[in-house]
Amino acid sequence: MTPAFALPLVVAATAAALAGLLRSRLHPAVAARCLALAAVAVASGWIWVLMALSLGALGEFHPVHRWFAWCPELHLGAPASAAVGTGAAVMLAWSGQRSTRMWRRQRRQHRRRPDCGPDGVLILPAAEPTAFAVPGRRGGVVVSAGMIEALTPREQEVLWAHERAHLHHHHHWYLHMADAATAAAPGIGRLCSHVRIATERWADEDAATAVGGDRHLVARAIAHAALAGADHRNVELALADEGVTGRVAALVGHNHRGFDPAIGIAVATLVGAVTVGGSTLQLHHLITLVGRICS
Amino acid sequence: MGGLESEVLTEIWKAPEGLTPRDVLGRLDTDLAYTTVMTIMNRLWRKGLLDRERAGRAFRYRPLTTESELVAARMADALSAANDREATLSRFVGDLSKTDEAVLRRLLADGL
Repeated sequence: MTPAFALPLVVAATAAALAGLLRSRLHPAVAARCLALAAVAVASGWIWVLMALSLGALGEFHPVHRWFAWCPELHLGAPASAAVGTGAAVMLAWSGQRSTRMWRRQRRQHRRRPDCGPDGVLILPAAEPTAFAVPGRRGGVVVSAGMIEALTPREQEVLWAHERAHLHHHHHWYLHMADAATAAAPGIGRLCSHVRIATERWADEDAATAVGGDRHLVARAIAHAALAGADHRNVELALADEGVTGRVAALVGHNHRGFDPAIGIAVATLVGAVTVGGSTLQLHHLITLVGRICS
Repeated sequence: MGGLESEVLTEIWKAPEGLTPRDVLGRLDTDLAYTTVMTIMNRLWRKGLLDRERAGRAFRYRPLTTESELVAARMADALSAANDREATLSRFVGDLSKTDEAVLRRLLADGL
């Protein structure tokens, strides 16, 4: 077992960290795509490392030794110890369990989607200000009466444009990718919240375009909606969304330096290459391994 | 919302002309007490999900919200309760901390 087997994970994690650091300089559309892809690359690298460690340790285990004896990939350099192998197998099982639970939760959520009708708009009579997009064939935008009251007509345009951008660009797929990656590889929650923030920023930028480039209007709509929610609940929340002020700052902040297409291309190329390279290498290892076990 | 409340609501949605607790009890396949059904319907009325009018000694209840609205309302509840990182659907805006609230109020006062 050479340390090189962990290379895809290390490279993917580095690329993901870089993309996370540069997120504010990337157009959110580029950032969301790169970060979601990087999250998947890191998760698959992590799963591969766990598999290699547990299979490698199994190869050292005497009664099954001869099954793996013909597999040089598992015998190069220092063998994985039984303790490391067991640890890796336990982590692998844990990842599997987390993934299953997440998959079930998503299916449950999917079944409980409201039917937004042919207009794709559902207005709730509730006073609590809330608004969200429901993806899918019968999906649309759900908005409460409280949210509509909290916004001026121009700000409501922002809200519609923002939610429709989520649906139009299929943002739920990026979030699904991020959720699946977090379930498989615990510890990349931060990377996944970057994906979430990037999709929100993407929808904000789309909304700004839809209202004729008035970024201040978009920022005001976000601020009014968030404050209306805070007023309605009127309680101190333990879990606050750090994204709101960040989104407002990105729209109207003085230190907003604009998006750099060159950095965008560089990061996209890097993440793409890492993902393709890493998965090809892992697939090659896996096919070799399976081929030898089965031959 | 509990399972019983959902069952009662589903029955009432099927009957737009309205139902009394006695009617609902007759349609549900359960051995619930009359007073339990009455309490549930009263609670649904207070939540604003049902409308009611007097019908003799009891009340007749009509649906005020559609099923889609209820599903969406439940989803909204789930979204505000769940850790935002876990919810697959995102809200227009999330919850604010007191600090962020102050920052936003100042920005708006300064003519954002």
